[in-house]
Amino acid sequence: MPRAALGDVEHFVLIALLHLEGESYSVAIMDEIRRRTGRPVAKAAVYIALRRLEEKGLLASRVGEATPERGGRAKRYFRLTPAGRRQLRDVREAFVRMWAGAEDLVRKTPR
Amino acid sequence: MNAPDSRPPARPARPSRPPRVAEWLLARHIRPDEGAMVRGDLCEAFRRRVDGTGRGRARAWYWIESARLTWGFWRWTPRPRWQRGTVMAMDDLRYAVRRLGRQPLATMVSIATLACAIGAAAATWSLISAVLLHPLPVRAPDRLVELDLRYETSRGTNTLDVHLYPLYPALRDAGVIDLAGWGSVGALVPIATQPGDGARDARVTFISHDLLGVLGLQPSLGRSFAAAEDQRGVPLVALLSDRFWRAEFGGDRGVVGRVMRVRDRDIVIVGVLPREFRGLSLTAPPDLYLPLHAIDQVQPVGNYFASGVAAGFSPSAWVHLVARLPDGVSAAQMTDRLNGLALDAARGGTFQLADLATTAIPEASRAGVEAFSRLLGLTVALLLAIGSVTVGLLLLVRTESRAGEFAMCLALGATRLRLAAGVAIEGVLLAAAGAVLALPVSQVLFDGLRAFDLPGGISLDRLDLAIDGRVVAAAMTAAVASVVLMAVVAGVFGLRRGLSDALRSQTAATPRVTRRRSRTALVAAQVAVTLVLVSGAGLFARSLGRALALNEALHSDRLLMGAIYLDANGYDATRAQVFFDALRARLAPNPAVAALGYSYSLGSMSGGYPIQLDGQPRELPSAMAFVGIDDRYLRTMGLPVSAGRDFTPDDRAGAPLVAIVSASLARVVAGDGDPIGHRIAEIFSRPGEPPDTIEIVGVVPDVITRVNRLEPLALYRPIAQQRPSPRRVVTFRAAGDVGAAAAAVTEAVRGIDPAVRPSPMTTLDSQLLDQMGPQRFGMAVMGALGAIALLLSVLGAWVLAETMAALRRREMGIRAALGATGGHLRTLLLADTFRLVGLGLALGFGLSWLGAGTIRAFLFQVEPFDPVVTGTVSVLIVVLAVLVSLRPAFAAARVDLATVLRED
Repeated sequence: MPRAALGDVEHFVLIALLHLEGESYSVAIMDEIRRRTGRPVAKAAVYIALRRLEEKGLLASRVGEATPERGGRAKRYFRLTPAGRRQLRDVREAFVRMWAGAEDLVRKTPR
Repeated sequence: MNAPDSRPPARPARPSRPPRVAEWLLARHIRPDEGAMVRGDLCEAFRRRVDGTGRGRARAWYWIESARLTWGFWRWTPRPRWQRGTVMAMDDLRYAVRRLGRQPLATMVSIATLACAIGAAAATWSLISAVLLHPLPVRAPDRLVELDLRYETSRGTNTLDVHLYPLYPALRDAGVIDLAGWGSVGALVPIATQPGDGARDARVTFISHDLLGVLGLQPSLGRSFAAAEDQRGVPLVALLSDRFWRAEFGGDRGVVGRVMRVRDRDIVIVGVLPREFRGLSLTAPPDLYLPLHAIDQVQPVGNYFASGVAAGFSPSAWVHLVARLPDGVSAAQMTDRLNGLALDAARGGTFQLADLATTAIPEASRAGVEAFSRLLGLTVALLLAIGSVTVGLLLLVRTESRAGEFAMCLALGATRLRLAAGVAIEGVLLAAAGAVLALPVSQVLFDGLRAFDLPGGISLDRLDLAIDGRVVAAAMTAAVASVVLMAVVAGVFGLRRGLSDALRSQTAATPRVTRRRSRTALVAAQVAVTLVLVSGAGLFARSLGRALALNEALHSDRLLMGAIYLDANGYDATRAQVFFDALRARLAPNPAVAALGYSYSLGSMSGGYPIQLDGQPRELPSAMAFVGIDDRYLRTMGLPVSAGRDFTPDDRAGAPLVAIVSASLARVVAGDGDPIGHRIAEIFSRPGEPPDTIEIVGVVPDVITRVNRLEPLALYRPIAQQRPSPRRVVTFRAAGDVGAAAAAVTEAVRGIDPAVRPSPMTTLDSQLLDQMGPQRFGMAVMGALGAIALLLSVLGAWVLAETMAALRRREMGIRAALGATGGHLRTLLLADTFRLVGLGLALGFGLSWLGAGTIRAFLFQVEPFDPVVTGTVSVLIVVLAVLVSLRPAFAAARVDLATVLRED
């Protein structure tokens, strides 16, 4: 069982980082979520999720280089910590167990 | 060969940067350790958008995104318990907006109702504030006084607010008070604003050069009069009112120094007065101001005292005296000082001081203006009340429809206060939206009010008023407060039931009585207000109808009149006669004009004045008009000679003086006897000569030209026996279209002399309607508000009928199963509507009874409880309420028990 519950956005952020090979910055994370879910996500929600995940020790961050496109401000790169990977795995397993035998039922439900 | 390029090398384009203010605002609302990351991300996306969509759209996007981020960070950041209330309130606000959006019709009705109510209140109360509360917008108006003289006579106390001119210099020279004078000749003065242009009538007030100083007023343009300009015989100068300046000169700031013509003299414009200043009497706001000593040059004709008796101390016999009390001196102390002077010029009178702001409305009109203002104020207060009630009703219905949801929330741990706050926020939102929309509404209504007059002939258009921002704020506050109160009441009613009660009601056969009571009370209140407003409009309409019926026998709707004063164009009486003969000749073949006659005023005498009748003094019961008429006037008017004879060509100059009198004057002269042959002394004889006597030779029916003089005393004299005059009132009867006849006469006048500008040609009916300004005003205001109230009442009755029919479906099904017929069921439901409307009408009669005293003063030959009006309005309300209740009643009566049970 997961040690602490993950919110939807937190969950999405962790999975997006997996897809982005373990490290990326906020704009790329938001684009990845939008591309995969097909709907935009509130920027503030992503920033707060990043903050909370870092506070929980599931993510770590480093400050990158400053670029002119960013008005001279640096990017902040996030990467999954081992605890974050473990948490993600636990949550997934919990979901898989919960979904076992239920997938056919949900497929029969008209969209 | 190409010339070498001398241009400096192009500088690299500066990268676009996001809006600085938005960046700054964003930085204030995010944590410092996240600031660089968030603003950097946003800047990166902004640059991409600049390349893709352009700079302007990218900046707009940045603003929106930074607002969203600010909101998001604020909303989702965890905060201590004591701060959570703010977040909840914001959530409530958002939910309230969503809920209102889900019922757009009810929301729009509520907002429109409130906007109308607040707008009407703001416009009306602005008017009342300007006219009654702040009639004199000058420095410290409470220190300004009018000097009156009180005389004790054998017939009682007589107080005069105008004085013989010598009193003014005598008081000024005494030096006890800062004093100024002003006077008016009453008549309009023909002014040509452009050289060679025709004249138009203007209202002129004559002021001493020091008046503006005493009032503490500065011209908005130019300067005031110099002392040297306020002397007899010096070149004329003028100050313009703001309204005249804008109307005649288009607000041209170069107007100072331009020359106008009055009669055959030039007037140089020296300044323009501020818009707020409307003169010292609201009944006659002047177009322009001339120096006091100019009165003889401008108005020698008809200014009896200036050229006759008081020539020795002209400029004008009659002046108002205005003074500013010195600091630290009370009005009572100043009165004592003035009376202590024992001036000869006071001629034995005792000084008394009147508040100048109060005297801005003449005493005769003050009570009427105050009563009318009260009526208007109450009317819009009623509308505000009905607006709040309607919004309260809609909120109540919404709250009751959410009873199940509320019960569930309560069961899950929500507090009643929190749920009630949610309902109250809906009320606040509705009230705020109504208040914002009320701003344009109040402006439109205020512009509409300009077409009307207050009692005493105070023309709102001439006062050139503006909406008072403080009044708008007060009206908005009142409306918002009352709506919030109604919302709280709605919240309390909606939340009274607990979970079990709410769930039980879904299966209960009959709704509890308490559930209906609140709605019924609100709709009954709407019906009551509707009855009062629509009946008020009906009473005013009937008054107008009665006024228009006064001259029914004359077919006064086709009888037109207009003044042509040729002295303004430099005509003497002989040239003027040629002009008027030519006008008649031009119009004779015109099919639009059926008949035409000339007349002009010879003067008038006020009631109570003695005339010599058959050598004996006789006091007149009311004012008497002396009218010079030509041989076609009576035929044009449609006045048959009912006794005696018409004028004949023998009634010429030098022949015995004759007159025809109105039927009312005939009764004054001879009672029920024969007035023919009685003799009246001529009052307009030359000073020093014995009066001639005039023999009455005929009687004609009364012509009512003033609604307050239903027994007009008129003495008609043949023009041939009068001193020649360059002035005429042209009276003509339209053969068909009134507008075509008026246009024909105006065109004929211009055809003879393009410089002559006659006054507008108006029908006798429209002249009477002009005097019924307050009644027209009342009809328009109460009619418009009453229509809104009627609509809201019908809406309320419909909402109530629909909800009651829905709530009683199960009961109807059981009754039907037990043998009740459809007719019985329909009657049962319609009886509810009848009871509701009956209760409302009873309340309305009570309100009408309370307001009867206020409205009675403005009704003409109609009583406040006119059975025709009250009956018609009551029937109208009942019929409309029943009509909208029919559909739900029929639908509920058709239901059968099996269907209801299946649905349950």
